[in-house]
Amino acid sequence: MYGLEATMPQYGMKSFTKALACLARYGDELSIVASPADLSLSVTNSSKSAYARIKFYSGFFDKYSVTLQDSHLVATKTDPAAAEAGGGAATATAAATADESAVAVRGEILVKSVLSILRHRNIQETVNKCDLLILEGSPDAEEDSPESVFILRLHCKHGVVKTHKLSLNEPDSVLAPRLPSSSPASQSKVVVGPRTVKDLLEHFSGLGKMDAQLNWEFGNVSVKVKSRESGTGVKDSRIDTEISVDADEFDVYSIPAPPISIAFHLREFNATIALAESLSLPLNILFTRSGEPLSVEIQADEEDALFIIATSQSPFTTSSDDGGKRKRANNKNNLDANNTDTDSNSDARRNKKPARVVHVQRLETHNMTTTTKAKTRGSVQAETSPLVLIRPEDPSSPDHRPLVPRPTSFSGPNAQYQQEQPLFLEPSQPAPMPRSTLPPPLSQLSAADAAVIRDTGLGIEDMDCDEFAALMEDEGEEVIAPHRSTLLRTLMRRAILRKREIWTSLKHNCPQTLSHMV
Amino acid sequence: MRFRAKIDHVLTFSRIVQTVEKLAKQCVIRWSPDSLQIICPGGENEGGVQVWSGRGPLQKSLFSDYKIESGSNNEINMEVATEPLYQALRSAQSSPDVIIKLAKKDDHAVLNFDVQAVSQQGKTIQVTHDVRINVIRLSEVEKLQEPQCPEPDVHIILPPLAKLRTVTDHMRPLSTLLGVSANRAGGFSLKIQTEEVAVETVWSGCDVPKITYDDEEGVQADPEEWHHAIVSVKSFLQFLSSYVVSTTTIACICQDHCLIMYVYIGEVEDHGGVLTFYIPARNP
Repeated sequence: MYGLEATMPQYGMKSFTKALACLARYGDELSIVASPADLSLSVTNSSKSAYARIKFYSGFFDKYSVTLQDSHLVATKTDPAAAEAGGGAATATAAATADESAVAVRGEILVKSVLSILRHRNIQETVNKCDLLILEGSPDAEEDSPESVFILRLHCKHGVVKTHKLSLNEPDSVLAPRLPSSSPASQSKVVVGPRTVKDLLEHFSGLGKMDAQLNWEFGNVSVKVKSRESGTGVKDSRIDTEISVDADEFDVYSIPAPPISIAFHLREFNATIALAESLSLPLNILFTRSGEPLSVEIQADEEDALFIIATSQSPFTTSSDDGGKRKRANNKNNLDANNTDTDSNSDARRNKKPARVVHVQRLETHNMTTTTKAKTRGSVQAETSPLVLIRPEDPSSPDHRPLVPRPTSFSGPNAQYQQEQPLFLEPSQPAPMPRSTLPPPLSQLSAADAAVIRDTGLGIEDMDCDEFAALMEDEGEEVIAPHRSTLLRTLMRRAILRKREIWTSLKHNCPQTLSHMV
Repeated sequence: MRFRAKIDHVLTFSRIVQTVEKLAKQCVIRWSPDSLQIICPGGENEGGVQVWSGRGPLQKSLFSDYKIESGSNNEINMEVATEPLYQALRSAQSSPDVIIKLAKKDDHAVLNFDVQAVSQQGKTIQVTHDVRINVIRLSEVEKLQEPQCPEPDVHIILPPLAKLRTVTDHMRPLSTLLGVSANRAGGFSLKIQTEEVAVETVWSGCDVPKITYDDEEGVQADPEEWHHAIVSVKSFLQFLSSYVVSTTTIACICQDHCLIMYVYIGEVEDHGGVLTFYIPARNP
């Protein structure tokens, strides 16, 4: 039996539930990654403009053990010293193993379904401890079910044991956010208590309902916060509010190049503040400049939360998003020689706000044999799309850093940011547009198929689905027709379907952000 | 057109607006040198509740440094969305120093609130709100007519509204209509009656204002006689949301026609002002 076995004490359940409640305000789909060192829960919002990840270290649990499928590696935590030893061993082995699925148990589940169990009103009084179990499905072993299961076992008073079984989805994509790109020198850092921010934002209370954006201007000695009209200008803002507060209100206020003005949506930020408030811990906010994502960290003893929120630049750039993106798709791929579009607004594009902090990387299912998978992926990616941002722990990039479990000592987020947060990479290209790879990317195709696509000369192998869709709309099918193959057709259909999906979900969820997306 | 004032009693003003916000999205505010009137003309809400604050010297008790100038008799009439107005006032609630003034922003008239809030560390937080308004002409305001109603059958001083609210809240799930009755001997009752259930709560010994009733027959009617009006529970609850601001409330019942509620803001002797609620009666 492979998977996770963890036991949470009663006092831990409260913060676990609060963490889930916070994640639930970011999005629906919770991805769980249980590595020997920690249990990491993460959520990306539907428009991929915000990402939240909360890690619980093994010390958070009374008992924590991860049994891994491939290497039969077992890391069990019984007492702190042993945990460290176990963690160390795991790291060594992890570095040796090329496949990341060997160092973690992972799965996806709806946040709500877990939360509805833990939020039950009597739970704080009646439950003594709670077991979290993940049983990984294995397709080949006959005695196990092929599906992974997430089990929540509540040990209540009077010997009552409640067991909830939830089926765990195979994660088909890994969402990894972009990190603010510049060096620590140009990075601004603000540390502030949750109460202070809350007091500030209370003056905007009426805006909370409609997920307003706030514009923050960090100056030399003061911070200005302004409600801002939505970029589309549709919704009548019947009240405009502006607040100016002394920078002394912030515990740490380090802005290397003031003033810096950034804008971002309140909805997710409020969720973060609520979590910080429940933990009574300050928010460590890092940002560089507008358009670059902002990150918020909250660090507790055995728990560590990271939030990445997209910021936008100015309300005026949003309207040109559409055209800019299409042109970019055309130029980038040199698809049509007759296309005389000059890239007149390439500079404008560069300033465009990133709608997403997260790009999608498809994972393969476990059904394949792991060794060949790793090889194929690595080689194809390396040849064809060296620019694609890859998760550092993704085995598709041969020169990536191995997954590094968190060192036990911790000295400031800046110093060890790279090592601390191996989930995130510095973008290796200057264009601020986040990318999502075409589903399925080349990595999932056989080398032969990939070669076919490359041979078409379309340059679509490293195109993301939005670009692809934009390209489809712009050019019509005729352009591509001469090179069309069945394979390509499927790819296109998928790309277009996906785009529609995004549109519909956006229309339903947050009409304001429509302009961020193409 | 100029208007500028310092709000002395932010809490009171924001509670008035809070009450109004519960029953209408828009309200009309008439500022003049010696009075302030808030009007919710009804119509937009289902119950048809109207609010006409008395044109009393409300502005004296709420504001100081009150300066107003305009081309039409130094009066300014404006239409304001209640929710943002309440939001601005709520944000200003805890601050000692709030200036309100008429301003122009992007070619649109706004009520500008200048608030000096104090942070936990004792620092000043500068907050400004611009609430969009529409300045409306006097002729349009004059089209708004106070509802006509006959001479009330009974006047009574209500028990504290918060208590009435608790009772009514319990009745609401059972019925959509609520019978309100009172007599001239200090009796007041709230009653619901459906096919399944009848609930009545009676208060006795309420104060009765000294009013000489002008009965048609010229004969003093029986003080024990009850007078009724049936109103929608929802409308009644909307009125009861004024409990936040009320001190004394006088209810008048025009039998089977309407309820008129005079909600006194602050003590009656202070002349703080009156919010008058008009709740039309429903047919059973």
